[in-house]
Amino acid sequence: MKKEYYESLFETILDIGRELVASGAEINRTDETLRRLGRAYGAEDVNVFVIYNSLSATMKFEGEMYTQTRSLKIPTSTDFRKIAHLNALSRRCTKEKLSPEALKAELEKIKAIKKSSLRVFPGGAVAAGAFAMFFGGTPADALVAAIFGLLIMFLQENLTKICPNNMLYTFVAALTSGLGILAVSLLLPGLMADKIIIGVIMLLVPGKGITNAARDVLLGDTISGAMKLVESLFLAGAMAAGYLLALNIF
Amino acid sequence: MDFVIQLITAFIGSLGFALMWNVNGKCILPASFGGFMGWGVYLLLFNVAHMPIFSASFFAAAVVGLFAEICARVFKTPGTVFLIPSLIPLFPGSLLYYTVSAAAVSDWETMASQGLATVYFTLGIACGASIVPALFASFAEIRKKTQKNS
Repeated sequence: MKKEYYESLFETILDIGRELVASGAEINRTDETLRRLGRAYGAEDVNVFVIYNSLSATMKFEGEMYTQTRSLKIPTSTDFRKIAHLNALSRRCTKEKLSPEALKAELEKIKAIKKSSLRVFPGGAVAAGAFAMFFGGTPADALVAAIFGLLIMFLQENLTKICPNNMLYTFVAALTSGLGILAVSLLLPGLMADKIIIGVIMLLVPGKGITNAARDVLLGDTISGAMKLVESLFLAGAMAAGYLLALNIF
Repeated sequence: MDFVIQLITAFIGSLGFALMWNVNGKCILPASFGGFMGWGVYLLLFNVAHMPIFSASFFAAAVVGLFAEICARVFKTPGTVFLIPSLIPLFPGSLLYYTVSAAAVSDWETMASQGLATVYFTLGIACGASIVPALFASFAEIRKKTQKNS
């Protein structure tokens, strides 16, 4: 009975960790959240080891050790609403002890949060358009960038589900948007292709990855930071290769 | 006039990213304001104080980092929710593009100078933005230790 209780609780705790990484949380936050949850449920010993592609933890509840692992080679999609809710849930647990079933139900509720297309698509279009003007484009450039921003969002929503990694998605997104923008600006000579491409590039720049990598390293998670940095550099390389190919074709 | 357009579009750009990344309703405007503020600080440091790009991007990102930590406490939401969208306008998309376009025509000199500038700029942002949360984490640790001892 006791063993079942803790096993099901521990399972949910690790699932929370997996959901955090899948939503784009930093390693430090995931690590801290799991520790906080373990202590909240009275663990006498808490060991958490988490990097961007694997998670394992051993905790001691009432004299018994529990160990589980999770593979984190899962598609990640940045969702700050999920991160905020998961964080709030873990803090709530330190004040009131939810039963394993209740905790699991809360997690399922958070997992069900979907990014609405009504936010993602306008968000991408507005960002690409704004950055085309930010870097010196005209309102017409911004409009074209916004349209290609929609294309990037479409690829992001559909390709990232079938692509084994984000590299391929980034390369395809860079190549297609680069070719499209160069073709459109050949037809409409008033446009500045470079400003439009820069606006769209901002959607693909791995800014979040690089910031998280630096933060991981500074907070002592050197392995995770190095992993994230290398991944971000590869993504930047894939993007550069896509645009390079597009520029060479034209 | 250019600066005004940049400040407005930095705000809108961060807003777009906040929407894309599903930031909570009440946190969207602060996250967008962070983008405006970060770029404002960068413009001041680079154009008025004539700082080199590394220091200018470092301090601009550090100000954004501080802003995000304050917002985290006010809105009781992880700081990263405010930090990441706010930093986006600082990322040197145009330098990156001109690095690639120079490579496309085999202009290695321009590629090297633009590429290095991209690296310095990005390094500045990454260091500046992570130093403030790291300091906050250290202070929290110190406070925890002193509370335990007393």
